[in-house]
Amino acid sequence: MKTFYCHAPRALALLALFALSSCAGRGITPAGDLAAEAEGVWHVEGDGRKFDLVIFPGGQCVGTSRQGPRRVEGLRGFWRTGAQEITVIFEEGSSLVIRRRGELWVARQPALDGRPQKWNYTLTPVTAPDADFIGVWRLNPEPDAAFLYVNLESGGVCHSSLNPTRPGRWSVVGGAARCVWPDGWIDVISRTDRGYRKESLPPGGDSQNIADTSIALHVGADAFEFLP
Amino acid sequence: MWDWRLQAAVWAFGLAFGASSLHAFPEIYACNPGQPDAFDILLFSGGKAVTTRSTGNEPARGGRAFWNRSGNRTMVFSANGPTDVLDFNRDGDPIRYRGFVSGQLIDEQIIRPTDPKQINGRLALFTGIWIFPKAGVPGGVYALLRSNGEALMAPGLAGRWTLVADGARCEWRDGSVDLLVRTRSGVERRTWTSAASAGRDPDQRSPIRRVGEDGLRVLP
Repeated sequence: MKTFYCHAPRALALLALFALSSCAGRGITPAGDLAAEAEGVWHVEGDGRKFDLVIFPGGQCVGTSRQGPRRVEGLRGFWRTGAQEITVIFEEGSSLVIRRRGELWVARQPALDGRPQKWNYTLTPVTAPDADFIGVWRLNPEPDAAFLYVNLESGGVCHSSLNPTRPGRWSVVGGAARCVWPDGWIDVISRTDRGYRKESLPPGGDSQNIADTSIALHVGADAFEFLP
Repeated sequence: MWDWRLQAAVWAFGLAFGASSLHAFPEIYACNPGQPDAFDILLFSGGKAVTTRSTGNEPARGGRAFWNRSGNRTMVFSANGPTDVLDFNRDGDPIRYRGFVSGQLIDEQIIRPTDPKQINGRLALFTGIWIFPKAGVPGGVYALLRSNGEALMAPGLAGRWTLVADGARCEWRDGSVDLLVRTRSGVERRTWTSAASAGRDPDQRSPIRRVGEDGLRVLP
């Protein structure tokens, strides 16, 4: 009986939380102090790999790794917090466990057999203005109806799903991300009152010569949709 | 290299050589059995999962999730907030289920861990979320079948289902009956508009698919 009374308020609080999360439907609240510290853009390096991890506030994240099945489209994931660790599960089933070690942030990939793994990834925070644009962007639909994706990485490299093997360079110019592609085309992603837009400039053109404009979606900022 | 390739290789190895702790996909686990919030988790190969937990505005749609297994622990992170953790013994049998809601630390001690149950055999063939064709509804409607016999068809038609000799029989509150039958090409849904006509030829036959069998697309 004593146990029940001790736990009853907690159980009610959890029920209320569950009801709230059920009603909300989209977006979750990872718990604890770690959650606030984790949100943002991280450059991840280790095991001979480099990629960026964008941790969004609503429990979603996106990795710019092009080694997953979706290549330039990156890797979508969900993240949760424990007392000491952040756990990410990506869409193809891989996982990353992140932990703070003093001033350092480190990560490891849990092994399938459960054996302890070394903390062989280091995470470095990426700051504004680059951090505002790093990640995966979904742009306009192409003639075959598939959306064009671009992937902006820290260090100034970008990739396009139109030509994944030929990277471009990007930088923040005047508060917008300017991607220069090897064929001379330039894409500019900029913030608007209602989100982001992309403008494409043909080779040799200037900023007055816009070939097309489309909505630009920062993948992960809004709730992922699952089909079916 | 991401460990999805390693996982795929190990699963393939396990399935090929019959490792006892590895199961055919989807692996299905009944969580909180016997309780009002009972639901199932269906783990599909490739990291995606479906749950028969009803949330939000589309209760028959169930949940969608990503999952990962490390050692004796499987974690399932759902799109709409819940986190499910299943622990297994050395034989690969599930021994503990813990559910966490949005805002909880996923390693905190919880009040009420429960015993999950793996769903096997014919029950596993039908448990899950199905898409039923429906006139006037492009893409069809969701039908949720929990392993405990609860059924729900969108937008809010409740029912019960049981295993019968030739498949799974769903009886809906509006009096209609569905029989799901495994065929060579998949699963067929045979529909009778009333239980009284259930002895006759079905009013409608249609092929159906279980959500997750053909993968799940994540957008954008």
